Amino acid sequence: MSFLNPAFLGALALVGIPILIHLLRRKQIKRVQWAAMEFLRLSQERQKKRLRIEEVILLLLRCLMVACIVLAFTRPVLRSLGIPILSANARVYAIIVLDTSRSMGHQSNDGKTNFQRAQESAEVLLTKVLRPGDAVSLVLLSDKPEDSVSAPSFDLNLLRQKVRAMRPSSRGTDYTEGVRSVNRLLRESRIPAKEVYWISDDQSVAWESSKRDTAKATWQELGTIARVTWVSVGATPAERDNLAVEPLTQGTSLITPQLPARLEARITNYGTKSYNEMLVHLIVEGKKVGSARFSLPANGSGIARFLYRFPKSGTFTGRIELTSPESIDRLEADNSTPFAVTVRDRLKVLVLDPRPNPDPAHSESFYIVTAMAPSNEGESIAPTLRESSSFSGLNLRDYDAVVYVNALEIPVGDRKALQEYVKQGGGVLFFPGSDTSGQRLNTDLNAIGLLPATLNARRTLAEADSVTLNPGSITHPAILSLKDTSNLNIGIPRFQTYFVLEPQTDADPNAIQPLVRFSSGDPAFVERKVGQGKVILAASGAGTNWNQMPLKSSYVPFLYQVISYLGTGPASRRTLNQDDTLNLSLPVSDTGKPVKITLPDNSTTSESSVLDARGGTFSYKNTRQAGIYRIDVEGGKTHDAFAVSSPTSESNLTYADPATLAPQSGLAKANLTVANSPTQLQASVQRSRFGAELWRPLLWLLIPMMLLESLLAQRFGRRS
Amino acid sequence: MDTAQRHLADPQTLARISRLELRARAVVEGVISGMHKSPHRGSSVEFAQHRDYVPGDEIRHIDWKVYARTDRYHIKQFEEETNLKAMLLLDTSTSMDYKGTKSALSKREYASIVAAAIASLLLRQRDSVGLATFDSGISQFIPPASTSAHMRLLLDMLEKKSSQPRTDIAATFNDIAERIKRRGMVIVLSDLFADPATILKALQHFHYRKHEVILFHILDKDEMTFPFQDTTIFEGLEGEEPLTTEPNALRNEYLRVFGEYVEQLKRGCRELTMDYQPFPTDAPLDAALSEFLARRMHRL
Repeated sequence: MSFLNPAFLGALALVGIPILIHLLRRKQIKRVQWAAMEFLRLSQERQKKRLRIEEVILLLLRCLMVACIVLAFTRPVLRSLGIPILSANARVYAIIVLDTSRSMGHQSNDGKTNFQRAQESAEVLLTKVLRPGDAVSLVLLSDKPEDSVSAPSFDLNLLRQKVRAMRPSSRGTDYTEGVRSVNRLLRESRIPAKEVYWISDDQSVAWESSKRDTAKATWQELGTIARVTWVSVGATPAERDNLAVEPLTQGTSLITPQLPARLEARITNYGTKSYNEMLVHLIVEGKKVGSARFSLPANGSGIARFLYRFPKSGTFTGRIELTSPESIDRLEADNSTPFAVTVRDRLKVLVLDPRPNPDPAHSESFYIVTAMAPSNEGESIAPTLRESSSFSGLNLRDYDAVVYVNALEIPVGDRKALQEYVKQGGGVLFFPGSDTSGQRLNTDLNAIGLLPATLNARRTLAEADSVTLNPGSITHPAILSLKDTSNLNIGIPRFQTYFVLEPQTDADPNAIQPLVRFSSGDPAFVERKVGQGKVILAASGAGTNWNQMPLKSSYVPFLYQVISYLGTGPASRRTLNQDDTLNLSLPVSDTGKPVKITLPDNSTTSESSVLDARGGTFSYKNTRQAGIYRIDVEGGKTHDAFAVSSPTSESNLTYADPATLAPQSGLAKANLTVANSPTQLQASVQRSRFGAELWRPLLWLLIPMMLLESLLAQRFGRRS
Repeated sequence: MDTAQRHLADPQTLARISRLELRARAVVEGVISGMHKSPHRGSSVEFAQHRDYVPGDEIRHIDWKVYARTDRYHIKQFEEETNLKAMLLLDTSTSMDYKGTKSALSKREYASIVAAAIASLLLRQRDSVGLATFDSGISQFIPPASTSAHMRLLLDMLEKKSSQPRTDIAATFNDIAERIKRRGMVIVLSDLFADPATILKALQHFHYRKHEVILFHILDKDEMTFPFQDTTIFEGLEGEEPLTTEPNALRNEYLRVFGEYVEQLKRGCRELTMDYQPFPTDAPLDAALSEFLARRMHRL
């Protein structure tokens, strides 16, 4: 308990007034000469005890009333917190946690964005709550909080200017990450009184990580170090409907000028209103090249699909955006999503066949090569056949994928190069053949960690018992489009001979997975991801010796999908998530030259490339902003681009009450105060810093006390 | 009784009349006009007995022959004096000096007027009236007589102001009873502020001696209603320790105790076949007396 007007405490002496009045009245009371004293004495004797008790009760009540009035003037405050504060005027170390996530750009009915309100609250803190001498740090909250001012600053003006100049980012939100940063700063400060002002829009998704058990200790630590004032600046739950265009999924792995590319975006409705005939545009290099209309149910989503044929090879950037007036909602940042794609001339594939059969009908490599380039000209895939088990003398980096047909062995000289090739993002496909020794191949591939599945016994079935591929077993994204058998059924060709594959185990459970299984349940193709590349092992051969696949219509599209998947490694990925690293291979002629990066906010930075044995490479890690990053080698011929998209979760603006979730996450409830407006913020801080003011309850208490006094006095007969 | 006469007998009016004689006359006129004339019994001249002379006796009644023989004054008493011998016992203790906040007369004044009025009425009927005043003991004693000059003597005595605290009422009453030789009427005018049992026991003495006892209970309205509001220190008129009280808090209990006391007195009087008549000092005297006399006549 402390007092804001302690000077009035002296007035507590006024409590003596009723006693004084009592005594004075005794002196000034009327005197009456009385005859019937005996009766008076007798009645007083009988009632003496009762009268004394009543007198004491009334006197106490009256003293209490005076005490209430005096205490109300002293403005007492009740402090319910156990935080060590030397005094009300002690210096504090305050951390202002300012949510800068993308959702803070959401505009409410009052025309202000969450971020503008957050800035106003920060302004109130820096002008009216915090005082000169207080140390203040600013933490910009997102899914990767930045310590904007990690060292405590005493210059409140400077901080105000910084806050005014800030803009919301395109990042997601993770409260636990924010708490970790805050705790670190708090631990470093020696000022005993610590306060955290958490200004955010209370998105439900921001609490996801806080629900994990590991987060509990982090929140608990915050509660023990500091007093937390939570400033809610988000829109009301009813105003939080939102439509979002979520990052592009590149439907076609391989994009070439020869074929139209399929481009997709998911449009999600995070709201209770449904929409009809929504118009979505595909914009490539600033030009609208396609439109799609579709309907969206409440709290539902849909895929907008575009087929677009890029005119030439190179890197193209664009966006898919909602443009229908009714679809423009209050969070503009997620009404479009950027993308960048690499359009390649063609995919170069090296086909290795150690013993090609001169009879094309029995040559496995013949079917493969023909399937990849049926007309030999203007095709997306350009196969190169090498009749050998070894690729020695060739630079694998010149090829996007390698296909082993009738695989016998991996020559010792090739092993390291092959391993490196895969790790760097290359794709390899192994087809066994009649000369294949399962054991040999197992040993060779296992030696370099590229074995997706162990080749066990070779199984040859009677024609009647032959198996087919089971399209229903497809879960792998590379051939997911073939799961639908309405247009093309890969379950028709029959397989009589195949190796029984037993998938390997890997530390990463997602590294090994079958693409498709036989109708018998045995895996038909198994993939293993190694480094940035992948290896696919087929159970049966590529030709007609073991199965009918090359003879059926599904062979070409199946092979096309698999080869495209293998050939388009991470090096060709141009649409990335935030914090992914931009990796770019550079021609030797461009290495050593400065690389200029133009960021989404049009600022530029310069980096240098690295030259190693495999050629020139360039990496850029600082992809905090969402949007298009342009890469230009100054004086060189490399001009490329990447798109970085925001996390989709940030579009879900659903509200979650911090007063409930923060304590659930581990923050002591007693150390948390929630405020919804700058005025409330000031009052809350006043309360949490000094405690709750008691003058109003005291005055309220006075009313029943006065009534009680009147009632008792009347009842006790002290008043006429 | 006409309004003018009633007005005269009102305590407020009486208070403005200074002389007791006039006060008593005002009351008596009121009483007489309200009742039929008393039947005159006629006088008897038959000698009855001698008694000692006391101041106030008519000189002509002195038996000079006896004086000659005994050298002492003796009065001849005749049969006519035996019509009614009334003895007024007036309480003059300090408690009778109480005059309520809204009362016009103190209890003493009121009782004196009552006594004078009764004496006047009786003397008009040629009855004998005596008077004894008492406080700590008997302070004055005038034996009953019926001469016209006797009234003056009674009035003089009634007008004397001296008073002392009451002590032992029983002893005093015993003393008085001893002095009243002949059976007659004893009229007590007092506030009777003492233990009811003691009072009744004392009165019983009169009863044994075949006196007809009438109790005029003189009370101030304040004593009957206890109307005080603010904290008050009550100082005893008879030297009791002062009491500081909250009258509002005490009123109910006081009225209860007081009611019990009055009830006990009434009951005792009933048992001893005594007349009990409360006289609040704010009640018009003539009306009170008339009512009392009417009730007595009805009983006779």
